[in-house]
Amino acid sequence: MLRKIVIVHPSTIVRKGLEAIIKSFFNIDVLLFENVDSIVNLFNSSKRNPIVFADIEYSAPSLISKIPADDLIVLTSESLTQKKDGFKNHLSLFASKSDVQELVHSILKNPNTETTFDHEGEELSLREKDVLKLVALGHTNKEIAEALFISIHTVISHRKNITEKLGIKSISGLTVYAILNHIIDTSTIDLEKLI
Amino acid sequence: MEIFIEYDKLSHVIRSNFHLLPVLNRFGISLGIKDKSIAEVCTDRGIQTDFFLAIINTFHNEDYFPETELMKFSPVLIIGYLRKTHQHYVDYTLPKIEKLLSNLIASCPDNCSDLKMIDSFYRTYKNELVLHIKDEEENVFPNIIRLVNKEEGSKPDFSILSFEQEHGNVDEKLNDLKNLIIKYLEPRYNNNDCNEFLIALSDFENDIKDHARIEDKVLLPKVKEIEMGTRNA
Repeated sequence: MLRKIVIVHPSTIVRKGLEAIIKSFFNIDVLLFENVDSIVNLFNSSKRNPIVFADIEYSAPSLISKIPADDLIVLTSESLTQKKDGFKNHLSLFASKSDVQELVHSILKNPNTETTFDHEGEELSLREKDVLKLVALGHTNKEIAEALFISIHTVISHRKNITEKLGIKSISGLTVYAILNHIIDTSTIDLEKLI
Repeated sequence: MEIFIEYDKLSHVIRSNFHLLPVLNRFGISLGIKDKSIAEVCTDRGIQTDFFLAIINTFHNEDYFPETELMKFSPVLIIGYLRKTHQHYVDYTLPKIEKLLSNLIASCPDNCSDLKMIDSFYRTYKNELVLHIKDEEENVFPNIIRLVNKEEGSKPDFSILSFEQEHGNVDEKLNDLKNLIIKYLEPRYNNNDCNEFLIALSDFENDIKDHARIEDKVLLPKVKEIEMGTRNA
């Protein structure tokens, strides 16, 4: 899963316009904000910092200390040739669509930045397979906790990770996955009842 | 993405997005519309043009959702459209998906226990969906209509809140079904049969998402508004 993109700019036209251009090239989540006030907790909560486009006047100066220079792109209303001191990445509001595409692409493929934002696509751990097996057989969180000698809280956290990794949310969907991958033995159970 | 306006020719609308055809049908519009505009076609058939536009635009364009505009329409009108949508799912879409699924299963050379599992999962999903539709048709919608008409006998304890959580589960399974096939099922089947099945499934997913959005974001708030009004009166 790609990182998220955040656009902070007082102009709706700029925010929506830039979002539309980015989305026409990349399958990526874009969050829009009018000012920096509401985005501060974004950096504390998420596992992976987003790429931030911020306007030069109000937002970028207050973000420079909070975001790695690679992840911050300053939006200026000046021509492309003039660069702003102190910022690594610039984008002029007069830039072309392909400028936007190249800039975003170069940041996304930067080898210094790790691109896994969440666990999607990762292999299940052995413990997660144990939990999945019991979920698939229809056991409750409490029963699973008791069977594996772990807390209910841990069971819930395993289940959350399983769903994130597999992209499957429903219990019967997980059961089908477990059967397809031979995590549960199908010879001893009544499939019709389980799914 | 384009927003259609009343002066647009209906033929242009259809050429822009063929998935709108069933939506048009739900309004009783069939083809052979010549060069008539949306407004003309609607007037001819006694359809409220602004309601028609709101529905096709929200369907066509995922980002377009004029809640205030939609909120001004009567729940009775909205329910009329939602009922037609249900009918289309039950009479046409689900049987079609099932036919494609049985083609897919038939295309598998040996005993295909994996595909049979997918089939069971689909049936679980379908049963839930059908129950959900039935509940809306038999309980939720009639109650809302009674509420709107301020009829006696609308259950005093009927609350729209109870049906809010239901959608999540049903959508979840549809998405799981797609993911299981795309990511985890051994491809021991005819590719074309699988493609057709997945395409039908994904068309249906888009249609039902739009349907749920109208229920959750328009009908529900609207009914809550009326409920509050009745209680305060």
